This record gives sequence, C-alpha cells and structure tokens, in this order.
Amino acid sequence: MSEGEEERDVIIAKVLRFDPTIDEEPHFETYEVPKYKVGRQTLAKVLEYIFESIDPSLAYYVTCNRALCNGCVAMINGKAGLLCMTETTDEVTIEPAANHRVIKDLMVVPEEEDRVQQQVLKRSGKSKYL
Amino acid sequence: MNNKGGYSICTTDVLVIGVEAAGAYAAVKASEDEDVDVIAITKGSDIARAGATVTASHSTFAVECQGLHDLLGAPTDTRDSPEAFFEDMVKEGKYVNDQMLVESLVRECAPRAKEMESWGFQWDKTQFYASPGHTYQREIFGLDTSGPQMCRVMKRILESRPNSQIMGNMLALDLLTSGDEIAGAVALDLLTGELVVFEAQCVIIATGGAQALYPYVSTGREMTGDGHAMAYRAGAEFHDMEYIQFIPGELIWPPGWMVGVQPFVMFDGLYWWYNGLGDRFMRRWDPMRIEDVTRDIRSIGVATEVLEGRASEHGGIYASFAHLPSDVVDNVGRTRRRGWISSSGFDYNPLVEMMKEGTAIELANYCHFWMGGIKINVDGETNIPGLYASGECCGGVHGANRLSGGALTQCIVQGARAGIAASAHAKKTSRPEVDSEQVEACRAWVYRPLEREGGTNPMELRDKVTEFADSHTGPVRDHEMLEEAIAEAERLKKVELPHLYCKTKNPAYNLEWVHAIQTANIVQVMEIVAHSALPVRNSRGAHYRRDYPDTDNDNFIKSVVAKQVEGRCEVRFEPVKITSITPPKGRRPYPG
Repeated sequence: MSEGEEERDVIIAKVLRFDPTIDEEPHFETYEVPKYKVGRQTLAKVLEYIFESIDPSLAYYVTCNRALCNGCVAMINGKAGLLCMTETTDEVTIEPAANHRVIKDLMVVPEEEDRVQQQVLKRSGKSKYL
Repeated sequence: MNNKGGYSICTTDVLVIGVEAAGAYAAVKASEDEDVDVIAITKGSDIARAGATVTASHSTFAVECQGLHDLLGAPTDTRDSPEAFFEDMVKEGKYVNDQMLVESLVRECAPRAKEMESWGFQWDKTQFYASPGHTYQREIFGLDTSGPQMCRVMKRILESRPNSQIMGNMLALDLLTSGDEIAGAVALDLLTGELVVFEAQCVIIATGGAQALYPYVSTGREMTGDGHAMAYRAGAEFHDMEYIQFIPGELIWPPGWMVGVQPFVMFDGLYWWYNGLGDRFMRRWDPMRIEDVTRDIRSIGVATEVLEGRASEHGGIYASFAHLPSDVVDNVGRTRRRGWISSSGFDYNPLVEMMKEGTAIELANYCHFWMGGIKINVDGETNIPGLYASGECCGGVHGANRLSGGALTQCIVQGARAGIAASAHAKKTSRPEVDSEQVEACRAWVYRPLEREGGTNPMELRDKVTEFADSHTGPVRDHEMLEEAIAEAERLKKVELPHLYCKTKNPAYNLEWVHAIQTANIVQVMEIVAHSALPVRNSRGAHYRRDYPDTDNDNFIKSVVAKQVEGRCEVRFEPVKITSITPPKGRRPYPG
C-alpha cells in the first residue's frame, strides 16, 4: 500500500459465470465482498458471501473445507487451487477447473465419471407415468 | 427446461443412498453376489466428496486388540478382548446402548478390518491409541488417511464390478413404498434438475448424521438428515434421537479458519476457558480437572454459559494461552511433528502468535456426531420390509455417548451387515410396482419453491432454524425449551416451509433449491429430536436436562422410539436390549 492510500474494505472478486442452458458464452461478473478486518478469509467464504448475500444463482462446490475432498478445485488467478484453502487477495479471479465439463459457473464434473453416469441414465427408460 | 417433464427410471436390486464409509461398504458387500445389481447414489459430486467420512481423515477405527493381533498381526495389548471392548462401550454409553448391536460391533470389527486390508486398505500397525473411555490401546489409523483412503478403496471395487454403479450429484428426496414394502426412491439429478426414479426391492440408507441442524458442524454443511427425513415420512422408527454429540471446537473468532480448531491448536490442559465475565466457568463443573474433562461435560459447560447470558462477544467462550510464558508455547510447538500446521496444510501459526501475545480466541460447540437415528436390528433391517440402514444415520449402538474410533467401526460393521442382508433379501423378492401417485406427490412438493413467485428465502430460513435448534435442542435442554421446539417445528412445517421460494428458477444445479429441500429436512429432524428428548426426564451422556440434572438409572435406562403416526410424531419407551451387562441402579448427580 502506498502512502496516503486508504486500506480497501472490499474484495473485488471476478467470477466466470456460465449457464449452458441459457448462455452462449461464459462471461465474467464482478462482485464486491466485504473484507475481513481480522481473521482468514478463504475463497470458499468469498463465494459463500456472493451466493448468500448477492446472487443466489451462483453455482460452486465446497464441502469438507479442509483440503481433503478436492471437490472445490478451481482456477484461481489462472492457477489450479482449492477454494477452501486459498486465502483471498484484494482482487481475485475465479474460473472453473480445467479439463472438466462445466455444469454451471464453477460447478464441474470430471469428464470420465460424467461419461459413465450419462450412459447409465441413457440405458434407463424414460417415465412410463406420463 | 420443462419442470413438468418426464423423468428417468433406473432399475436395480439394491439402492444405496449415501456413498461414504457405511454406504460404500454396504454397496461393496451387496454387489459381491454378481446376480444382484447395486446402484449407490450420493448428493456429493462423487464418493468422498460429501459427508463425514472424508473429514475423518485422521480419525481412528476402534478394533479390539485380540483381533488386531490375530488377524492383522499388529503388536497390540492382548489383554484386550471383544468382551472388554463391549464393556467400555456400554459403560461409556451410559447403559442405554442396544447390546445386540454392540455385540455385533465388537465381534465383527476385526474381521472387517482384515477384509479391508485384503481389498488394499493399508493400516498403520505401528501406533495405537486409547482415547478416554477405552481401557486398552485399540484405536488404529489408516496409513495415509482413514476415511478418504477407505473411500478410494471402495470406489475402485465398485467401479470394477459390472453389477455396481456409483452415481454422483443425486439428491435423494423420498422413499417409494408398495403396500408395506419398500419399492425404491425418488432422487433429484442436481446437474439437470430432473427427477430420477429408482425402482428397487431394497434400499439402504447411509446418509450419516444431521449435523447441519446446528450452526456449527465438524463435518461438511450438507449433513442435513435427508435420510432421516425420508425414512420418517415413510414410517420408519427412530431410536434415541435425543443423544447428539457436541464438542466446543469451533473457532468463531477470529473468523475464517473454518474447521474445528481443537485438534490443531489446542492441547488438552494447555488452555484456559473464560466466559464473557472473565470467570473460569468449568470450575463449577469439576473443580479439580476444570477444562480437562470429557467432551460431553465440556459441551454442556459451554452451552450453559451461552444459554444463561454469559457468552463471549461473538456468542461462545474465550480460550486463552495467556497464563503460559510464550517460550513454553514455542516449546509445545516444537514437540509437534508439523509444528502448528494441520495435516492438510492449514497454517495455525498466525493464530498461535496472536494467542501468545495474550489475546484469547472464541470457541463454540459444533455438532460432531449423532448417536441416535433410524432404529435397526443387527442386520440393518428397519421396521419397513426392504428398507435397511447403516452407519451414523442409525441409533442404538453408542447409547448416550460415543467413544472415539467408534464411528468408522460402526460404518464397516453395519455397512457389511446391511449390504449382505439386503442382497439376500433382494434375491428372494420380486421388484414391487412403483406407485406413480407417490412420484407425483414428491414432484409436487419438490418443485414448488421454483414455481412460487415470492416467499421465504431458503438460506435465511436455514439460519433461523439452526439458531433456534442450537438454543432449544443443543446439549442443554429443559421442558420449556423442548415444548417450544415442538411448537416451532409445527409452525415451520405449517407456515414457513410451504412458502420456501427460489429466486433462481433454472433447475439445473440450483443451490438455492438444494438449500430449500435441505432446510425442510433439518426441520423434520428437529421435530423428532425434540419429541424424543421431552419425556427423558434425566441427564445422561450427551443429553443434559437442566430441569432434571441427575442421572436416573431407576427410571430412564430405556430406549426412546419415535415414529410418525397420522402426521404426528409419536414416542414410546422400550426396554433397552441387554445381552450381558446389567445396568446399575440408583440416581446420581450428572455425569452419573
């Protein structure tokens, strides 16, 4: 921080949004998230704030919160990382993990598992109750 | 996307709901018979990407030492035996365990541990632990991790078998029945937002606890008692739902560490606790041991301060190192293998530095484990033919208090039992016809939050429910709180849940919608807990009644069985199942 500059009280989070059922192309949206004055603010917390207080249409995946399940892998400022382990910077860019099928926004499934599951669903019949 | 559209139908012999320790084990055992098809669904994106097992990375399996020695070749204390393990579990469970379930656990834990080894699970045979309550060092770890390693082993087996299939992102909604029997289940494919009907002769519920009924959890936040809620609606019986384990390990201030702090920063006896008035309140519970008491007493001590208005600034209690010279703290750090860095890489050094300077941190109770749950027999059978359950979603085996290491062991023993029994049942029964009206009824309630144009925000309602549950059905209860909790659950079901509304209308991976469904489930669980706890007018293990603070062995060595009857939660007492240890008599001040 240079002299005279006030410390910012918000984090600028750029998140790549994409809903394949609606959008033609992914696009970035920028959110302002209050910055913790003390403590440790992970990207999981930043996304939780966006989802709960700004935009409930955001899709992301966080569960164990302690770097055990690797479910929250994403591209963070261009590098792969875990949302639950990475502390935020004042400006941060979050994109979905590479080499995965994007379901929506940051929610992805690995290509291989997705392929197997889709096969099972295809094998199954459609409703006879209609 | 047409919300009213068709849905896929998957046909199988055994459907397993929840695929972590208990569910995966059940699926592996059920699919050992290659004529039996098994589908195992999880609302996580994959096995070990939701639930409590994955967070049990450095948890232990409790396995009696004789078996550890004979079967695994581990150099253990051979004075231990299934009988000694049995005695510890029943004594520490405060004599309300179902002793038939305990018998099964202590006798089958070692063969299951051996079986896991034959599948490629690696045990750490060099270190054994005896946490409080275990007479002998019978707790054993997996070599790299426990829970996650176990899930990897199970996933490999399930993926290699042609008759078994794991399906991720499937949120189970409701069970389907045909007459008195189970006929399958309806799930929501989270990726598309469409319903999937699973037709099956047998369903095994292995959905774990309902930790997320409370504001702080030691697991993932998705433990919302989905299995409890659907089993309750289908008419399943519940066993001792009043016993829920809490631990004052949630770091609520400073914010952001997110995980339970206890194992990483806090050494028992190293820190002192204060309430908001600066009083070292645990002295009132045990003047000699003070903070160094068992987990149930700690959680009850902390909950009492919060309930009686003596909380810390952010609603918990203060924990401090200030009485210790900073070089002593440094030395403690040096004695630890990784210093103040957790096994998964969390760096607690900034926190320790802050505490060395004299600042306290604030802790609150997190919900750790559910001793109560669906009522089963040793084969995992419920009162509904074809419906099985295994693992933490089941009640009875731990009684009023669970010993460390008992959870993963419960999962492997009960998972195997339920898998074997369901597989055999599926083979000798034909698949019942699914009742389309039940599917339509499920569809009607599940899609309603998407259809409404206004109403209650699911996340806001969730926060209100968890805060209420914490203050009314936490570790400390009384008659008035429980009556209020029953009334609040009824009000929520009548007034709030029918108005849940999602701003986001697209059903594909709609998290707001997931929260709406899950919030309805935790409300259902709260109702069962409150009804089960109300008639238990004594304090025992994890259930502390401030209006009845004694442990009353003359009147309350009983099992509480809860069940939905004509839309109401009915509760009855049953005798505790006793095989070899006769409970004591008399009334004593808590902890008995």
